[in-house]
Amino acid sequence: MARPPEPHPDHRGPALTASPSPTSRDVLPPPPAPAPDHLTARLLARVLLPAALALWLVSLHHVRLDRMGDLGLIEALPWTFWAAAATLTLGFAAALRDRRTPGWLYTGYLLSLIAVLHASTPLVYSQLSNAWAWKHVSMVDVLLRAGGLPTANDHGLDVYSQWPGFFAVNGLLVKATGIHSALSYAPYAPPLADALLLGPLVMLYRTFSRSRRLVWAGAWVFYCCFWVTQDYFAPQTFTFVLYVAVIATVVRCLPRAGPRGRSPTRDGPPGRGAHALHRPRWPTFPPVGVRWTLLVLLLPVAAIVCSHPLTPLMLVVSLTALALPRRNRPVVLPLLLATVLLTAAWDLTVARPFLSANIATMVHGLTQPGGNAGAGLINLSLASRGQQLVAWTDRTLSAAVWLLALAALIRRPSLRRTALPLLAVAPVVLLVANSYDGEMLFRAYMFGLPATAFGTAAMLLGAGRRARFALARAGRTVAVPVLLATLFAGFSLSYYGKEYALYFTQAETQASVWMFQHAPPGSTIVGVTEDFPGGYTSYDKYGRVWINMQGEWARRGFAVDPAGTLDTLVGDQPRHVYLMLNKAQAGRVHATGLLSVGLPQIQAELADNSQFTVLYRNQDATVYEFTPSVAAGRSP
Amino acid sequence: MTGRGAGHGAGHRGARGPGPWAGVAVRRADVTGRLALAAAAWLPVLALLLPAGAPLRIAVIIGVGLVLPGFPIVRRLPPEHRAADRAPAARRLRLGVLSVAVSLGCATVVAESLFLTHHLTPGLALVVLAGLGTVAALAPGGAGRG
Repeated sequence: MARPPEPHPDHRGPALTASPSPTSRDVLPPPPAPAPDHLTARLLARVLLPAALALWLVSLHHVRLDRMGDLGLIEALPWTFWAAAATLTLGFAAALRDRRTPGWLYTGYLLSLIAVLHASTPLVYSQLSNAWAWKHVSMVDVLLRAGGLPTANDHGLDVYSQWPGFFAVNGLLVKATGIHSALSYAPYAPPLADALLLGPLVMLYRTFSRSRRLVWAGAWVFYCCFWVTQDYFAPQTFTFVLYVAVIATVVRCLPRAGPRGRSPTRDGPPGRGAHALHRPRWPTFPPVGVRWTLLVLLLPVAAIVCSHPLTPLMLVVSLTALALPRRNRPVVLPLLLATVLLTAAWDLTVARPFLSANIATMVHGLTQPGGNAGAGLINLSLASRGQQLVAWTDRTLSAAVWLLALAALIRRPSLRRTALPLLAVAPVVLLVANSYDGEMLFRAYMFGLPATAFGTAAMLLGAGRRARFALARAGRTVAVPVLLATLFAGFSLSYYGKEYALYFTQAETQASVWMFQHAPPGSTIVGVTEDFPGGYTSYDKYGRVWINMQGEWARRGFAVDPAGTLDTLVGDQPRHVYLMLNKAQAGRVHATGLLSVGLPQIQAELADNSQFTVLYRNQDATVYEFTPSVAAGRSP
Repeated sequence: MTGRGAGHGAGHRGARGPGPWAGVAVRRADVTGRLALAAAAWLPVLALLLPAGAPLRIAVIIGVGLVLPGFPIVRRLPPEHRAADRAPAARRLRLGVLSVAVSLGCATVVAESLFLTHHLTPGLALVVLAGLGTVAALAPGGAGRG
């Protein structure tokens, strides 16, 4: 006689965490047969995943990178890509509808989402994208060549030599594997980092709710709202993965809050017995398992401290927030103290020169909370129409995430007893303390996103769940995939919409390689922005001047009198001066309105100027040699 | 003698339920697992003998480096509290997440220390990491008790 199927964890209720007793198992009624619409959802969830992946793989062959314009990659993607995205979203919504969706299927959907969102560009582009990723590859290359990171106190390069953990471990990886350079694997950093984030996220969300649907929906929302382009080959990407892992582990160690017998969230009530077991009491000293776990966490914390200046501070404020409720303090305070001590020890020894040089700026930042918050926003009045749309989309997406998380906290009192509100608000503290070169707003959003994304998911999935009328219930069935698709579309516009300046062609790379092969050491490299591949190649041997970093006078001056502006900036240089102008810089200038005219007009002017000599030119880049007027006057 | 007898006894009584030799069999499996982990920790060092850039060398160094020495360290941790670790999926997730985080942390701290002391060479760094993994795998003490 066939045994009835084992009840799924979502149906077990108390049995998931309470001691399963044979008597209770015997008297449990068999699970109810799934409703027909759930059978349809189950079938759809299993069929649409491979279909979406097939469509996505087909779409990669039809991406027209030559069509990339003001809206970045959006204009280059074929319809099959959007069909793949819609199919994936519909399949995931179907999986959410079926309460028995297994973990492997959810994992498959999330990994497929990461692949579609973040593996498309490395698979389609022939070159590493994002000038900052190239910069970090150059750091690793210099470390391997010179055996260290020489201090070059321009454009903040000294910060890398004083938090070199990420570069040291990549140097070790390059040397150990015997590959030529980190350039060979750096393009795949976004999908790898996002995949590594999935485990910590799910672990964190399981402390917020026992509903598996909500846990996986939270992870989906996280990836669809993580638009801040901070997942490339960079120290902050590496330390963010460790940060989420540390926070998820700490939160898992915390005793549960709330009156006994109440569920942490409305979804998946654990029941009275289960909750009692989830509330271990340790008045002053955590149990041995927690103590050992905290001790082991010192390793990733140490890696964070020596790899990035901001992440340890984010960890300190997040742990401080978690320590606010008295019940959490026995768990959190030891790790908080250790993190503070490790950070202070590092900052007062290895990183002391950087802090000494910048302490005045940091103190000044404390007095400018309003300026810090708005420092990184682009001026929409100067931006192109496409970039105005992109900027409004990412601002709306970010505001929606925060508002929905806030609404979830208001509507679901049980969520207020979790660590979610503390983790969401903590990064905002640093927003009022420092601008972090205009990046703090985005970093505060990023570090709060693991918490706010879950709140957003709780609201999206909870909408209409108590609807009495069939029409309202049907509306909810349609609403979930529509809302998830809207998030996907918002992410695509916010993330891919900036590719005009991040994507580099092979021709641009060839021009950069040619320039560094022919420029003698000691030369100065000039660009309107640093948006060209390999701008920091052998950074210890060349000087660099980016016009957009020199202040308003230089930007205005270069637009009307390029030679005069360069004379002022580099006229006293005894060695060669090279000017690189390329497609990505032109895209940045056009999209952000950085200069009052476009790069093509400036290039037309340079053609008639005897101080600029074209040394190399291809379809996407031009390398000029600039002769300062003093030197020109000396020559016959 | 003990090993053969233990294995035979455990197998014989396994069908009827745990007998007096069951604990010995578990300990034997645990020792085998520990030895395997200790040996696996040295695979990246051995991979250095392969040609530079060889796919197998890259796969071994990245694959093993992502979970060692974190896995043997985390495997020995007692659960934080009983209820949290009862579900096997939760236990596996915690083991996976912490193994990767601790392994990356170990690799970074070792690389950083050698870098600051101007001794960063792949051989030395991988030997130190393999040593840590071996000690974590073979050190006496209970795994998973608590």
